[in-house]
Amino acid sequence: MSAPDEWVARIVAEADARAASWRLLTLTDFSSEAELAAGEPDAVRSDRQTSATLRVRHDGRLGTATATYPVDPSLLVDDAVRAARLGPAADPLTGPTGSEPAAIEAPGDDTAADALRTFAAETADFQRAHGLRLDGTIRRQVHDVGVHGPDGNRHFRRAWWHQALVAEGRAGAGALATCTDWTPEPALSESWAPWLAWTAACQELPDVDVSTDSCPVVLAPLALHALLSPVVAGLSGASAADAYVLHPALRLDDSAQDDWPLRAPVDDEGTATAPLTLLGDGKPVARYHSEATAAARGERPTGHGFHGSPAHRRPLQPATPVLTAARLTAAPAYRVPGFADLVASVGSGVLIESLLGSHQHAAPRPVVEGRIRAGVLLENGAPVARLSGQPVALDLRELLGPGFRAATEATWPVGRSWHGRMPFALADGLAL
Amino acid sequence: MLLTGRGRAAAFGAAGLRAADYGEIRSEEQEILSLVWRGRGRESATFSRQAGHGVRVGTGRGVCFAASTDPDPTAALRAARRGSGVLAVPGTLAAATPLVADLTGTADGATEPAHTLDAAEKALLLECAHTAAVTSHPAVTGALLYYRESRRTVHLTTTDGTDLRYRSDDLTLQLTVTAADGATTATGAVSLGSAGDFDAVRALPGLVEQACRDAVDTLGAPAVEPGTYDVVCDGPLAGTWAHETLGHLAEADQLPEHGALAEPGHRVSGPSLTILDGPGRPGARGFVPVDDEGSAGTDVVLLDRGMTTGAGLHTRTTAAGQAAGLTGNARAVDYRHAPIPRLRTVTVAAGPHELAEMIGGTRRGLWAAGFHGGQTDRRSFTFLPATCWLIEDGRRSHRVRAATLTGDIVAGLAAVDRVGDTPWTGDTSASCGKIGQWPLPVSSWAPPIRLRGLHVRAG
Repeated sequence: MSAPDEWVARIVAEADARAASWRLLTLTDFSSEAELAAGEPDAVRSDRQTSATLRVRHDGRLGTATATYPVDPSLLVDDAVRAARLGPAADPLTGPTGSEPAAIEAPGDDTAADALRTFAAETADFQRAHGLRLDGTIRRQVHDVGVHGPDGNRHFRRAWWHQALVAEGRAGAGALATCTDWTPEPALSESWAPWLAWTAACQELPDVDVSTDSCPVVLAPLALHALLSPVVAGLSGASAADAYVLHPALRLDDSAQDDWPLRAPVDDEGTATAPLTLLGDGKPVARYHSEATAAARGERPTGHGFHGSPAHRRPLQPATPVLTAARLTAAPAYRVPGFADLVASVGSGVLIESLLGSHQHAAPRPVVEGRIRAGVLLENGAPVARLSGQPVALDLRELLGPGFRAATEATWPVGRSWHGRMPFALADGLAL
Repeated sequence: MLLTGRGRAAAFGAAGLRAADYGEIRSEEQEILSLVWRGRGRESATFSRQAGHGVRVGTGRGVCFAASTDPDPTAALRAARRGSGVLAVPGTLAAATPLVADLTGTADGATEPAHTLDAAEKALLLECAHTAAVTSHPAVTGALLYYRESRRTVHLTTTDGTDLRYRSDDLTLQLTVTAADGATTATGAVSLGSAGDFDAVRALPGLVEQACRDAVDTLGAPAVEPGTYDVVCDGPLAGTWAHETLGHLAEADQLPEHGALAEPGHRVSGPSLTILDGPGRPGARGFVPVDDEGSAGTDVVLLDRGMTTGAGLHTRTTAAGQAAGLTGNARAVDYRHAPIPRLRTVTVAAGPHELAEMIGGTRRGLWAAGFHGGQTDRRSFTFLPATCWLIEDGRRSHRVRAATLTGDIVAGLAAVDRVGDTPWTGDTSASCGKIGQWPLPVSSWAPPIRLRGLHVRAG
């Protein structure tokens, strides 16, 4: 047993001996990351951290304590009991639920440096082939997660390669595309490569500002993620507001498919994860919950309670409801195969790739405001000019409501405050 | 370069660092107490203890970072050294003057150091304040109270000869009271901060009363009519404006979209406006006498009587890359992160104008006080003041709600035509966030300022 494993075992023993009701989350987080400037690594970092988050119910109240290895386990339990004296009234802690998941083996630390070099070289080759500049980060991440409680222990390991890249054109042409992906192997995203190649062809187009009362708009997955964020926030168990109703052709699920690298068999509170339909025929079907939000509404936890998110676990933060594998789909009559089909159907309109500043408002509002980070003007189904920096306001009640027209069958990975796969979508009614 | 065989420095040799390599170990311990009340009752109570090492190794190929919770930093140093094999773009660190000092015993003038007080006593005071808020008026539907105190101790050792210990304490309290009347909601807020002195919280009962009055009175106020206004901002809001706009653009790892701001000698505002970033003073949240690379803090003037200085806020990395001097701005929120250029105490210097004259000389405008939220994207800003009153013909007339102030950063600087003569030098609960490093304690000091022709929208 390794020293950190012994540490966890001692915490479990102390908590079991001293607390009538308890639950423990342990996390060992290994990562190696390279920052890329024009495809070349100009900064490298690595991390190895082990931490524990202990929740204890003492005299009917709940307290939480967190510590990094190797803080004395008895101190951690002392802190949790002290916190319980100051904490809220709570029911006894239960779980974890579900069955013990199969472990995924991950390569050892020594291979990360070689793989980072190879990954960076592939990125540099791609940018040369398409006349782009690629900046961003590539990171190998491994999470060893343990959820321990009165109903048993659940351990699982998840490993992935994360890439977050911004593609710019030659000679300061500005941002063309932004992409993120979580893959099992250190390789440039197969999902995004065709899109990056498409946008590379737009870099020689002139820059324009557009003014229109109403036009069709193709929303790329990252722009759609921004527009859908108020909807996602409204479906959270923590939301006090009513959920939005969208076009009846739209459906939103949190699917957690087996091949999704971020998939966790249990959430950080030990609740088994399972597919959940949030919107069906455009109407709210269910909310996603952490333990606390479920209890507040008299509902059952749904396996969405995470400290941060499965991609970025933050043990010091409280557990809140987070979507981990959201997927927006359209009814069959509203689907087209890929983004090229969607673009080709636009006689005169715009494509918005992503927004600047749209995620930072204090509270979710149905109108998402920001500036176009990257976009193109479309005429007769082809890009004719680039859009950059122009202010825009996207009203989800219109664009994902009566204005919605079609979405791609294919989806692309996206993630920021919530993660998943989004299609390209076409809607009428954008004003600029 | 020193490579000794003693104590912590032995780790450098054990990790395989060569004589020409640079090595750095920043070991940190941090204790945090966090208490939250939401709605009408307690929500959570959390004690945190975290400790770890953030290390850097510089070889001929460049400098790499690693973080670890392992008690022995040797493995982290080895990982950082291995990482340099991945680098394709060489980088170096600017030379620094070694510093040997133990600053952990330095008195900060706290009247009631929070870490010495019983947690239950503090929680009781806060619970009373929360209860007072939620029971203050039938229209009050709830209150959200966040309290956080932390104590951070750092030991920095480098192969250059630095051996430095220092400590920083921080305390924040944010209380937001919500009042509702059918479809309309309004808030009032208390925002307190200090360098770990609980004495700052003792004024809470009176402040809660004011926040409740603000929430209820704002509920009955009309929504602001969208348009262009002359806006007089109080000290806390003006300080936040300076921090978020010019302050962040001066961080040397940012690429300003306005070239004029990065170069010296451009007039972007009137002669009354001077803005600087500096180490601050003991007892303030933004007091940073030495940064997390061991560099002593200096004042950096960003705007001198309306003229850009082109000065940047540096770390050893950016200073090396831009052939600049060190400024004491290298900060990391904890051991998990390498230091990056961060703000400390941003100050808008006192000007010549009295507040009464600023308001009296405004025909149609807004008096905007406090900071409820906002954002910037390096070109524009959007701020939500905590409270707002209409100014008509030189007098404050009535409250308005839902005002959002927006503008271009450069145009905003040019719009400042009055700078007050009495700076506010307090602290709020507002902390700084950048690339996932939050909450970083900062101070933002300013007198009231007036901006002409600011766009205001409702909601």
